[in-house]
Amino acid sequence: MPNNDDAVEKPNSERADPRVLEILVCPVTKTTLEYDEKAQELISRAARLAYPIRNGVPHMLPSEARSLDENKA
Amino acid sequence: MSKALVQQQFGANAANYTTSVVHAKGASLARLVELVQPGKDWVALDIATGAGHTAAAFAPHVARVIASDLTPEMLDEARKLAASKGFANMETAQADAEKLPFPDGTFNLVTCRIAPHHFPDVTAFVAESCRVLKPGGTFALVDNVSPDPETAPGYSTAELAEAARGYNAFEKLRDPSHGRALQTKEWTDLIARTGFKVMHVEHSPKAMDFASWCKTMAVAPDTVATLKTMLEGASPALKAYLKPSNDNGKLGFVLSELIAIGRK
Repeated sequence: MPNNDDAVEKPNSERADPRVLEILVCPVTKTTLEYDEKAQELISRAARLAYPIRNGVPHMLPSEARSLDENKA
Repeated sequence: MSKALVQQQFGANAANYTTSVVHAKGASLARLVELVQPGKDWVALDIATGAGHTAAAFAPHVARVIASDLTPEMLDEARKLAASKGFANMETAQADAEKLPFPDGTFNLVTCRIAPHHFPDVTAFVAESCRVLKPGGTFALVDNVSPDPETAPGYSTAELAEAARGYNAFEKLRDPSHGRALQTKEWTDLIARTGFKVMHVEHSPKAMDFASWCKTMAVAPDTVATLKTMLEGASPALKAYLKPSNDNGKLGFVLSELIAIGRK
């Protein structure tokens, strides 16, 4: 289900540490991630998943991720 | 189901682990740093960091340490710990030990302390640890082991297998997210089979206060009574391992932590 919160810009205090973002890959495909700073998501094009960053912590579990395909509906 | 259970158990009891003396000040923590001899320029990963005690023990000795855990509530505790100690080089990420979100050859050190007995697939955990380590990198494992020839000497293989089952049942009743504590040889065989050279193996006895042990996981009173019966009625091999004690009604027992160091 699309989450409208994703479009809202998050305050700086809830942003992830950019250093940790540099080191992360998709846990499923081990491929690089795109950082969507506004939505605070890490996007895996290969796995079609968007991993959320909540309170500055990246949540790198497929079960926590948003499906990119669902979002199109 | 197991992973959801782990998140449920530790999500509800996260703060208990911040204050747990066993987890914060366990003898194995200082010993682990001593054995690993971390380098100032190292990048380290602590898997299943819990309240972040192991990551925080290494933070002053390395360039940076990433504290990862399956449970977001535990990561909140780890972040609070890093902030309270002023460790700007300690970062957090929610990750599954069996599907790590890091590229091959990223870390100089991977640590994991008192956690793999919760993992459904320890083989995947060790393989992933090896994958994310640089060649020559250090894998440092601490976990409770089951009764085995090292921790309960003088018993037959069958007696120890039965004692190992009894020990795991005891742990699982107290914490349903407990999977299985391996025996020492299972760990060293797995570490070697994954491609590490086993550099060091030792055991560290850990005296447990029965009441505190139950309290950390908020065990219901009738379950506490059953656990007490299990402890007092343990088989000779399990008693040799747990060494149950009763000091004027204050129950205690001993667990055995394995410290194993591998090199990629």
